[in-house]
Amino acid sequence: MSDMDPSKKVADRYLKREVLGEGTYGVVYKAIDTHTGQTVAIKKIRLGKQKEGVNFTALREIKLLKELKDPNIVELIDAFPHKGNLHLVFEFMETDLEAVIRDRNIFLSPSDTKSYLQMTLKGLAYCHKKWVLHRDMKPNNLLIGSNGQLKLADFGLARMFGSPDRRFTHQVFARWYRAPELLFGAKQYGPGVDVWAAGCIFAELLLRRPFLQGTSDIDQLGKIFSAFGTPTASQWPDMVYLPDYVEYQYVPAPPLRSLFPMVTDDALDLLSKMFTYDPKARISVQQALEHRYFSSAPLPSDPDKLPRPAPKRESRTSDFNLQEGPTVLSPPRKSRRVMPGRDGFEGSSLQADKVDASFGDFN
Amino acid sequence: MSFGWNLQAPGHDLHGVYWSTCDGNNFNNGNRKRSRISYYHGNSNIHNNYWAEHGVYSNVYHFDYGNHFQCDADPLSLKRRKHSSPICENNQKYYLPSTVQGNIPSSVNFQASPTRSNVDTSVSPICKLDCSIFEDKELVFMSRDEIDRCSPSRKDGIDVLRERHLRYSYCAFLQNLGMWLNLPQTTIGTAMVLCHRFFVRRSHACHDRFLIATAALFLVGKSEETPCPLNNVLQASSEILHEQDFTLLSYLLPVGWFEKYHDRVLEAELLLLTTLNFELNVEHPYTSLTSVLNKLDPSKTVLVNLALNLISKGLQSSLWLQYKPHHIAAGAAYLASMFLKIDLTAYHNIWQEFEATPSILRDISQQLMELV
Repeated sequence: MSDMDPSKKVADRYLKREVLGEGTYGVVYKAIDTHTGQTVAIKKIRLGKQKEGVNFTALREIKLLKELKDPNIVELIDAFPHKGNLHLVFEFMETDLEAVIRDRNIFLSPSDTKSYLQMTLKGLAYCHKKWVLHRDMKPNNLLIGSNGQLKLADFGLARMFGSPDRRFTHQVFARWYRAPELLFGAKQYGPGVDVWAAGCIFAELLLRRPFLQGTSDIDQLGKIFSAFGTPTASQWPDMVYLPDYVEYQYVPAPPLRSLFPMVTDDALDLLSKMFTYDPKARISVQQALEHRYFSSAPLPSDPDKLPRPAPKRESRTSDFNLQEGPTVLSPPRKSRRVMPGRDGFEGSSLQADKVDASFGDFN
Repeated sequence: MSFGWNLQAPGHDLHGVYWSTCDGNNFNNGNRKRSRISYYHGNSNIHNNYWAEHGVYSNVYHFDYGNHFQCDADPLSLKRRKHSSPICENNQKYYLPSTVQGNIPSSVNFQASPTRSNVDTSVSPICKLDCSIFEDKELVFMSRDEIDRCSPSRKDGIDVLRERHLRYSYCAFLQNLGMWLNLPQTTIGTAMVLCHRFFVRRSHACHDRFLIATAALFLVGKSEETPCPLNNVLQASSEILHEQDFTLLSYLLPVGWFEKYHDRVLEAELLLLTTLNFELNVEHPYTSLTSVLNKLDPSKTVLVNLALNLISKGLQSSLWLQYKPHHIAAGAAYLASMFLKIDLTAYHNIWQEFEATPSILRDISQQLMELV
């Protein structure tokens, strides 16, 4: 079968290539846009005989990505129905931050870490400026293009915020990246939840492993409290009023330097501000971008000079102890196929209310 | 032969009664359900119009006050009727609304467009003039003249005045349906705007506006984070359109009608999405209106409320296709100030805050005046 076999064309425009992954959402595959020659990633969403019409999560993602146009947010190029499926066409991204962190052949200099964090925060700042909470920040939703540019992806859990009385679900984020207010069942929360997750990603870049690997919500809070100490009423006055608040045995805060021995004082200061317990006192994304960490030496690397993993991902055993990974919350039929060697990370992303796999997981 | 309803004269605003009863300023999502009786009394115009357009008042039928229909004509002869006609299958005589509207020249062959398995946006062969010049363009603002001249409905013999009435009718239906389902006013308003956008690109002659409106409200419910189960939407819209309790409809309508309706609404949802190029974002003038007017002294709440009501009225028009939200807000504030004889020019730079020129204010207030 030739490369340009018309049988592989989707809607007379996209030439289907290899499958990148598969999830509850449907299949994600690589394709060529025959109009522009551009390589794209197409997320195929099964419509079939859905009782409730077009997938809620897909609709949310389309609506938000049509609004959010920024260099650090993945671009939705096109959307179209074809043969009973809905196809979302995204710019193709070579890899993701999780693959970079896990690749032991890659050395991440302080400048590289700074650059990745800066791009993450820039994308997030744009979302928050447009009153959008991402609510699913994690390394494999941070895609990296061939030019080294990092972009936020998977807006399937994202939501508009701004109304003071708006109530949301707390079942968002992969557990390891979930802010303490969410773990305590907060239904009214703001951009601080994304900041906490960005802090976890920052820590992961520094440590080259997930920072707070809880196996349940209770254990996750335990991991947080052992890292930063049990919050006191003076630190976080509203904590006791949260729906699922339970009192934990008091643990004093160890010095942050003991957890991150090799990092600069500026990096530690930014980390501590991103990991502030009280969401009202937590640093905002814009303030984080203005922090001296980004203006002090060494300056962030240029994106095109950032290290990238080898194009072909070889199957290899996980660098992390799988026993420490989070438990899968969804029934087995909802688990998704993942790239070889990445299974240690997947379980956490299957929340009770998250019905879709992101294309970010497969690039 | 007498009917259960009074038909209004052609050209009369069919929806004045409904819109005057609508509290356009109710933005909270409180319990706004009314009894079915008050719904029907306040809004029977919608149904008169709907049934009249779908051939219910044709001399083929005897109406016996229970939405039962007797078919005097031979079923085969009915198939040749140009307007929507009852469908008789398996000796069951019943009425099914088709995808076309009445009062349209018979030169166009109006049949229900065939359902397409993959619901692509291809136009059915019977509606060759369905697509508009705006088809492949990104969402842009148009002048009222452009909207009136270039509407695809024009090519199908539907004049400007008629289209305006069709617009009022689906807006009244949406307001009714949205309140029935306890949806916030912004969700209802967004559904109205999506319908306006749809009918700028597609002809009324080829698409049942009530079907499109039902699909739009269901779709917007999901996109605006106020989802409503499809069955609830279908049940409510059936009750409103048929003026019957849902349990009774199960006896009056043929077996499988609900499943067919379900499938048609899902097809319409996909057609809406593709026609609108998945552009579901609608900005409303409420925020800019309140943020600017609240800077005035507190005694001006009556002005804010009247302006908000005018904005809600404005949703029936094509204003959202012509102007940015802050301009509509300015026009509503300007008209409200004229009604209340409040001189807003005394407030320094108020129109500059709205970024509105005198010509914009005049045009918007004039269009709003037509609706009052």
